[in-house]
Amino acid sequence: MNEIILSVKDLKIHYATKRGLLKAVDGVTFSVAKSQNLGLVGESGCGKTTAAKSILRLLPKNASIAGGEILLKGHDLTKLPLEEIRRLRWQEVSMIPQSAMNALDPVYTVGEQIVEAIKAHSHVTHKEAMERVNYLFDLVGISPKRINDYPHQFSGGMKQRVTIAMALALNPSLILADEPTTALDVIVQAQILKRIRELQEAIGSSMIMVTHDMSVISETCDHVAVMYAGKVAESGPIKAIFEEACHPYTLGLRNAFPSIFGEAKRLISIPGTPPNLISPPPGCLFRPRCPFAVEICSVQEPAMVEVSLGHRVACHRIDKVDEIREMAAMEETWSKIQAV
Amino acid sequence: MLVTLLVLSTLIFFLFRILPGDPLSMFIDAALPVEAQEAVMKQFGLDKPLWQQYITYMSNLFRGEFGVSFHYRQPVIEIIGEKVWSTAILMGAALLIAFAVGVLGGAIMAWIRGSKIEIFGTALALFFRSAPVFWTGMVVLLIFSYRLGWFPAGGMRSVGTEVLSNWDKFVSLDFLHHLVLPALTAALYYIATPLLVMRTAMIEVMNDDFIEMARAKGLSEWKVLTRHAMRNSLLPVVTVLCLMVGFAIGGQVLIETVFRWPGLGREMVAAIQRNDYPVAQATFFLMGILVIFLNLVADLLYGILDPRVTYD
Amino acid sequence: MNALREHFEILMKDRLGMIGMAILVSFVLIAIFAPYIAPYDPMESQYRPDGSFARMDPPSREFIFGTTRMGRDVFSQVVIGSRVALIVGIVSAIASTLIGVNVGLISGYYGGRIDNFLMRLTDIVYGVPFLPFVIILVAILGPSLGNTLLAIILISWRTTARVIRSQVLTLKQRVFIEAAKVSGAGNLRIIYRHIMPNIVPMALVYTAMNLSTAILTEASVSFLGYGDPLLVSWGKTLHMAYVAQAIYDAWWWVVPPGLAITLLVLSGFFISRAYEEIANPRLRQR
Repeated sequence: MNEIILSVKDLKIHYATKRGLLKAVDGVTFSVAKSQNLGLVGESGCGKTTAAKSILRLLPKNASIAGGEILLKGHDLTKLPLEEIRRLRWQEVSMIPQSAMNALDPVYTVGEQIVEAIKAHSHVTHKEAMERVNYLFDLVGISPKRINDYPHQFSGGMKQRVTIAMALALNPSLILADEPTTALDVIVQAQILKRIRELQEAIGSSMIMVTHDMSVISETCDHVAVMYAGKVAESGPIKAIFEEACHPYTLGLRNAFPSIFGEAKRLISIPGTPPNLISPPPGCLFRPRCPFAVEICSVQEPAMVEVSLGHRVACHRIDKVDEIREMAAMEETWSKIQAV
Repeated sequence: MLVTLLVLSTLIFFLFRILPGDPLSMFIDAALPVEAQEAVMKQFGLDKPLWQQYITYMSNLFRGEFGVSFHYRQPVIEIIGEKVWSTAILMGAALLIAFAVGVLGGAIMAWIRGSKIEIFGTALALFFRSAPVFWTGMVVLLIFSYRLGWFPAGGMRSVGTEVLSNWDKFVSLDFLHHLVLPALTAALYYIATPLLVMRTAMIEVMNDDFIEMARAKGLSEWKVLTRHAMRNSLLPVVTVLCLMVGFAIGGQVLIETVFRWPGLGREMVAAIQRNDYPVAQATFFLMGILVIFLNLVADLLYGILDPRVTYD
Repeated sequence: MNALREHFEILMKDRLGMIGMAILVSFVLIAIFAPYIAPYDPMESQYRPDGSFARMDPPSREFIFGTTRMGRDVFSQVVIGSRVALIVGIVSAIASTLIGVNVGLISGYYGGRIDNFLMRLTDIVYGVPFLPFVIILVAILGPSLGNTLLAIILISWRTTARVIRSQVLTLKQRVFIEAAKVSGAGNLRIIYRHIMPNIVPMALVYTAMNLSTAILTEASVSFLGYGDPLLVSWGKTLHMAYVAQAIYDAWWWVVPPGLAITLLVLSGFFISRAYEEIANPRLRQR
């Protein structure tokens, strides 16, 4: 039976800004089972990174968890004191950063930095820790001779491998990958993604892959949660999301990413910009950019509805989903929207 | 470094020959009898053409031959030999205190950024940087030596102290007692730079990704601040140390004058006043060397601290 | 014009910068109207109302900052002394900025042998200890305001040159320079019309700092006895106090001139830091 490692329920995170309270994450629910890979996908500013980082409580000073639960193997992380969270950091939940360029401290060797993570959570000797690092380097494909090298001596792709090795150091139950390939070129990106997937399976960790790139999702994830403006628009198994997407935003996202296979078609982008999260308009937050909005969309927020096993959507126009899918594939549908 | 040395000595060579009036009065004490004057002229080749004088001058310099002091009637090297140490120790102590306190203070200020204490601290540090160090020295003497009587009013040792060994010279309690006021006064003058540089560096470093990673790894906030933030912030601070050394030698001249500390700076000023040009030249030159040397040390220190720097 | 407005706004927001400006302006006004503000001739010995020589008098209604051993009014000395301080500060700041900025611009932009030569020159000047050099030059050429200014300017352009060159190297890579080149702009035009406006904030950081450093240097030189014999300066007043061994007996002779130097120099540093926020946006408080 697939145990649930992480269950996020109705999570709300607010930022206190000069212009008011910004609702970066407003009632988000998703879960990750053992050895599974959940993709959190959406535009910049949709709250995916905030939601992910809140698991480790790595939020800036002006951010606060305003509601909801984060259940890691049954324990509610929102209720734990920071000291407890520190114990869990890396040991239970680790992170692969977005840009390895700056994620490694330039004045310490890569070996030292991984040993630091190991020693922060276990009483092993330096020698034992180094042996572990050797093993990890082997896993990710870096020569063990480079343990005593400094970050600046590695290329971008190699540095990212170091951070992956580091993330695996304590065999965590969950790994947060924060857009881990954005800074890399396409070929290296493919290598890294493949490697991540292999390692995850070998070690049995679950993963949350935060990204704005649908093609990355398609290659690595089992489940997907599509986020928009701090809420989940649609979530479900990857097959469902890709082949039977229901939410207009999901459909729009799929249009915007090229695929090497399949017919060559023009990329269609979603016109308009995300809403103001300090004083959001009433109703569905996607309405201003949605070609299929009707009256009720301006008045009432759509509730999450289960359309098939594990596949949930928050949209008022579920009943017309077949029509919507057809129309979303046509460029004219989207170009009719004027940016509000 | 060698080039700087070369240029510095050449500069001194020409500097001391542009005196309005008889250039030879720079090197030959007019009070000497004529034969003695001629002997000096021969020794320093002062009757020869300029370029030959230059070569003689440079070779003399390399051999540490600075000539004979007009005032003391002794070889210059004997007079100022020990003063190099006096200057080095006072300057070293002042810089050490300034940087140690500055680094810690700067880190704390970055931590409590925006608070009233931080603004007050910045203003205070800048105040002491703006106050002429000789004036601060005068006020310090007024308060701590004259009014409170806690410290001596100047000099390096109490009158009549026996000096048994080199150790005694510089490590005795009496010496340290005399060192406190001038060193602290100078340190107050220097502290603003490392303090503010460290503060700025910390603020910038705290925004770097590897700081977030350190936290994500579950390290305590203390470890994040010290092992990662401060360690990286030290780099710009050491860079500024190089600049500070040149600045400190100027402060040193003034401190030594006010506190009557027998070092190169005070000797230079006294020598200029007495028209004792050989001593003036030599002290200026040695101060230049001290600066160059300390710059080198700072450079090496930076190379040790920053693994991205390699020296071929 | 917009950029100027933005500069002003940032300066205004920085409280210390504003205070600095206020202090500087006050001193400038004092210096301009000094002869009218000073109640007595600063170099003239004064007498008490009862006719006795006003030697070493503590502050009183007649002599706000008291008198010196020669019976001179300290307050008048402080007021008149502001002139020398400001002349040295302002002339130095402008001259060293002009030299430093141009060296930095030319060196950074042209690169190659010109850069090598200019930077070598700057390195050499960096190797000369500042204050000792000024003292020696002034002692050799003769103590005068002009010689002090000369000595200061000869050295203090070096910091500006290095910093500006650094900035130019970064700016050179930027796209708008490429664009200017492609559109046929000549080198000089690019340097002075396109690059220079961008380095102005950074240059001003060092102009303000140079003001402060120059005033401190002149005060130091005068304190050591090499100030202009014909002029009143704060450093000279302190020199007199020290030589007369009056530190212990006449605090009023020592404190006011030193405070005056401190305040004026402090204002320069405050303004410099305010400009640093303009020049380096990462430092701004969010």
